[in-house]
Amino acid sequence: MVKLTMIARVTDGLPLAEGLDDGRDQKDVEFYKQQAKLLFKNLSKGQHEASRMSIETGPYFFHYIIEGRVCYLTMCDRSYPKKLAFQYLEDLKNEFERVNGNQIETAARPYAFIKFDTFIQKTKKLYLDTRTQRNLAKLNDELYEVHQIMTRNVQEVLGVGEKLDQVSELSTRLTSESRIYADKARDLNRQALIRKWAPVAVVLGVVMLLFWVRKKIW
Amino acid sequence: MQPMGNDKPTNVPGRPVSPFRAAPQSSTPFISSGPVVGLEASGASRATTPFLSSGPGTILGASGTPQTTVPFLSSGPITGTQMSNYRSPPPPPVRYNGPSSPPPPTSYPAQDATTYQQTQAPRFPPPGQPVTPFRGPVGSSGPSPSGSFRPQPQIPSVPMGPPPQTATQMSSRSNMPPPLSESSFSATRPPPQPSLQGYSYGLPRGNMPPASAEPQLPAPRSVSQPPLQQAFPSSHVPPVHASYHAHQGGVVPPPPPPIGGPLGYNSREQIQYPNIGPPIGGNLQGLVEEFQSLSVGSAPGSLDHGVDVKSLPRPLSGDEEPIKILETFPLNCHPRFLRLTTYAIPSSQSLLARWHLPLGAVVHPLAEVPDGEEVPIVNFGPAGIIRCRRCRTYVNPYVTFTDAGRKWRCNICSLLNDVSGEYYCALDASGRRCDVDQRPELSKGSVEFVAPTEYMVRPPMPPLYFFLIDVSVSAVRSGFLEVVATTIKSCLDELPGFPRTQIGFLTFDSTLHFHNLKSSLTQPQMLVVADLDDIFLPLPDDLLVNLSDSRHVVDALLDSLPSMFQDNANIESALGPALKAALMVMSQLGGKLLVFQSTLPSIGVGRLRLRGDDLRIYGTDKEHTLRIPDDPFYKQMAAEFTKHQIAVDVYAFSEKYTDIASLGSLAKYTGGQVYHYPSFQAPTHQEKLRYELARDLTRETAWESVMRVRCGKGVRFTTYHGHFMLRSTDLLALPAVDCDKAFAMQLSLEDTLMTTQTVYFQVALLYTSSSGERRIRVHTAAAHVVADLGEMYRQADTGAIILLLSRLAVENTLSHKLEDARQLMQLKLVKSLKEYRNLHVVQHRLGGRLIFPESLRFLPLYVLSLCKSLALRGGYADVPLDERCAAGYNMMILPIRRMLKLLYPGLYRIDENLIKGPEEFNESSKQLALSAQSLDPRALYIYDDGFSFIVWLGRMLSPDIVNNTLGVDLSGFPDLSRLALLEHDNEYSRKLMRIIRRLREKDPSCFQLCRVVRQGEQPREGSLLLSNLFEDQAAGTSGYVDWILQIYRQLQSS
Repeated sequence: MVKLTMIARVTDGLPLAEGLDDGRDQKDVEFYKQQAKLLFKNLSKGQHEASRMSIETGPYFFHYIIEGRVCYLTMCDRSYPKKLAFQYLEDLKNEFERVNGNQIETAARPYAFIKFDTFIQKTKKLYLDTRTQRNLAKLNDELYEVHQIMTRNVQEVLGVGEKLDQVSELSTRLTSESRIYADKARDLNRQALIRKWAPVAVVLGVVMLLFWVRKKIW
Repeated sequence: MQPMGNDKPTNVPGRPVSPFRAAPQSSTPFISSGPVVGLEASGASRATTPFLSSGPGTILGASGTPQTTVPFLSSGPITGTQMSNYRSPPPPPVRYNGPSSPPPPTSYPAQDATTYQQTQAPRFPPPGQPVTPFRGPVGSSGPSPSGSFRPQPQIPSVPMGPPPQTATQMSSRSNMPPPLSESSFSATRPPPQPSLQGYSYGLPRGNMPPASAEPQLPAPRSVSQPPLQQAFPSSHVPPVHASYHAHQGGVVPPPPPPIGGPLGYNSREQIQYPNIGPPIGGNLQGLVEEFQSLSVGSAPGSLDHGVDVKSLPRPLSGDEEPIKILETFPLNCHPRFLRLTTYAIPSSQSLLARWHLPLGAVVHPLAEVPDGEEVPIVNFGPAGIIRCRRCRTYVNPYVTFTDAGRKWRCNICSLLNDVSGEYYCALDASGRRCDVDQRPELSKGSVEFVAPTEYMVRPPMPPLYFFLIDVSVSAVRSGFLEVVATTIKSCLDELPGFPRTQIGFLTFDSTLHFHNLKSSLTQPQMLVVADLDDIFLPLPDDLLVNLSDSRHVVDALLDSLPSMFQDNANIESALGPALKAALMVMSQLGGKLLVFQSTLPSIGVGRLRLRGDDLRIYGTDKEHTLRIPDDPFYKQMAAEFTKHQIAVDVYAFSEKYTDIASLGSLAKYTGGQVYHYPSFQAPTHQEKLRYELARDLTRETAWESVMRVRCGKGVRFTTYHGHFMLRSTDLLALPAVDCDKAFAMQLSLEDTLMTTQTVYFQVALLYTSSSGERRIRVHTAAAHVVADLGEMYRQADTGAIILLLSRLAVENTLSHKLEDARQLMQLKLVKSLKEYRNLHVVQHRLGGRLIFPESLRFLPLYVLSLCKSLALRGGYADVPLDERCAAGYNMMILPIRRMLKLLYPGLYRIDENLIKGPEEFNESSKQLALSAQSLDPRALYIYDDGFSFIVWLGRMLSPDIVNNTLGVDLSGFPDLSRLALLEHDNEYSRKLMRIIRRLREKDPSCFQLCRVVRQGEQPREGSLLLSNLFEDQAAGTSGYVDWILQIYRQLQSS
């Protein structure tokens, strides 16, 4: 069952449309919306991802397709057939391109095509029940193949940037620590030297002193 | 002159310098001429254009010949002084400055008449040089005088410059002996001209009797002189009129026969002094101040009062928007959006403490604008909106760019912000950005920004209307169910936001009826929930549907709704549970909830009890409890609704008590509105209901909005008054707001003294339009900071003050007795007038007269009628409790113009218009004083308070008119309360309806129901009309004259 539907422009992550009253009776919907927005932001940073992808997050799956610089994203239950989800997105894509295709690049404000939500709403209802004749037929349609679509974890996707940050942080820490280590090592060296020769020096000193004193007294 | 300029530095910055500068050469000679003064005085702001057009032409002819001067001279002793004043005056604010920036001496070509003419000739021929508004007037008086006058102006100007308070100073200067003037002149033009002599004589005589001629006064007078008048057709004041010219402040000396008529009190700009005798100047020693005075008779307190009823000021021309502020601050937003109670903000607490009136602002963020003045829309795109880092102020025309355009200084907190790369633009030599003209946000006081994603917590919501309709027996019987159903159906096509609009219905009596409107159905399904204690939704979806998808189902439902409940005998009403159910349905989206209620909620949570019929409670400390919600349930629900972005409009159709006080709190905290139709009967009231419901559904509405008002350092908004929910200390949550709602707020000063000269205010309303765009509407305004109480009075705005006062009074009735609320208002009025009196009484002998600032001349009358308004009037028996509460709720949202209309309704005599030809009915010129004395038994009147019309038929009105307009024969004593005024097939009726239609068009926000009443038809005449003639004495309340006397007496005592 479709929980969330969002359409955004890939070039800058600008949201273009969103399904109406998505996430009724869902408390954590805001959290997943934030994740979806982060996802868009990552996409807009130019990380070239596959044009079709499934991302697992908690008990749900994000499915998205990127077509014509627009990303169509939906969130479904884990149990919801992948095939149907992607067909749903295909439907949205076809209609969206038909209606708004030529204005996508020029849209200047967020949710410029918010009117599209009525269509999203309607289409969503068609895909609500996986066992309707229509949906069963789609499931059995061999022409539409979804097996190769990669599945990744949301932490991986969102975490890519995070990890890089971590690595660089680690490395900077490494350099600074190694410098400290070098300093300390030098220090230790010196101390070791002192410890090694100090008694000898003292003994010699005493001997010299004795010699000197003896000369004086005599 | 310079010093003067300094005195009022405030004017300087704002004033439009250009006209003056441009003009100097050609105009300067003229400036001296007195007539100009007239302009200033009379027209200051508005008259200028007329002048140009008319002035030059006529004047030119005259100007050519020296003779013209003669008449002038005659008038003219004063002219000299006038000239001085005039010179500076051109733009009103400029006046003071004027002198300071005199045209260069070289510019004065003409020393004597001859030279003068020569120079003139070239200039004048082109009739209208746009440059010189003054010019016109000048010419008329002018050719000869101009030469002579020119020099003089400078001298007198000095006295003019200083604000009135300095009267004493001025007088000393005004006396200026000729030599003095000479010297000053000499600088500009060396030789005294022969031609001038004539004038010069005049001058000494008129203006400057050595004793104490006042330069200021004479000037205005001279203006009023007939010859000048011609020049200024535009000036509203007939020359003869007795009125004082107040420069700026409206200076009025309190001479004996003060004011001939109401006209005398015209707006201060227009006021002229009536003096006829040229040398009058001498008489008015040192009394120059800008106040209006009213002779209250020699023996104050004596029954035989000396007040001339006709001379009392009356706001017959309706609201006066303080447009003048736009001349001082041309970058301000239009006053229709934001008005301050005074445009001079006090600089210290102690000063504020002496201003006893409320200090604050009235904000009307979505006021309707005339075509062509729409608020410009600005889209910054992904760069984001430019705002101050610290105080979050939006970029506006008053920010200053520095550092070659790389930084900008916030005008509110004066923090230096960086200018982002995309927004950078070079500055020109004067420090202005080169692209100011292309950027509305830097050149207009009102703009709308397109909000980027950061301003949305969710995608823009669709417009949503949910109807909660009472279908109990009284609703069916009164017929409102049918009217509501047909009206909603007729509005479906015009609901804003197609194709996203959502709609839903819930009907209730003792049970709740949900309606399944799924688009695949052909007929709606009704689902009844009888369990009122544990409400649940019988369906997860389809109770709220997309209108365009389910249109046919909605149509079917509305068609069948009246018949479905036709035989309903259920008398219960479960409003509380129904509200809860509505909240469950709407909570996901928010929107607008329209509640139609015809009886007292009787079962389930939120049931209300009959109260308010207890006479004994009136006059006791518990009286106010009748006016506050009985059950906290409604306030809690309202808080929930606001949290979910739901606005509630309450339509109450009660035959009996329905506890509007409780129901109204739903609207009060959700930004909604209360519509009250006492004893609704479909045949008579349906038109009103239809119009108002249709307007409610189809007017442009701003959804899920929040509003914040920012202001500069030193001031702070403390209290807010209106229908909204306060989300944090200064954030107003407005689930829905539209053009019919205004908000008032009060200012307080911080402890420290204000050091800046100007303080800025910025209103920002973040909202979602019906088309699904998120926008921020920003209005910015500036006001001067003053250290002078007189200036505060001068810049006061009666409309804003009275609106704020009325809201305070209504809120006061919720915690105090009516009587206390009325007395508090009177106290405020008296205190402020007394303070004003103290300001002036020392210098002037004012025995036996009441003085008040020109700007507040209507205030006493408005306060009087406020005390007599439905919400505050009388006690138990005077107004039914429900009507009183409904009126109170109404007053909390009215914008200024409608509030003033309600407080001083129009009364027009129209029988002549019906009989005579087709001459157009002109409401502004025909408005009468609101007193029974205005009613002539031979005539027919229309009374219009913005909410209803009352057609009053005089006893001796010709039966011909009566029968034709009413369509019935009066001799049969028909019941006029049931009579609906319809258009009949005859001239009279058609003309009457045309007039009524014209009056209605003037105020589209409400439908004025027309009721007919005959003279002597008691008690209807009394309750409908006579009790609303606010100037008359009614039971327990004083008439206008008594009121003035009463106030005067209170001023005298203590």
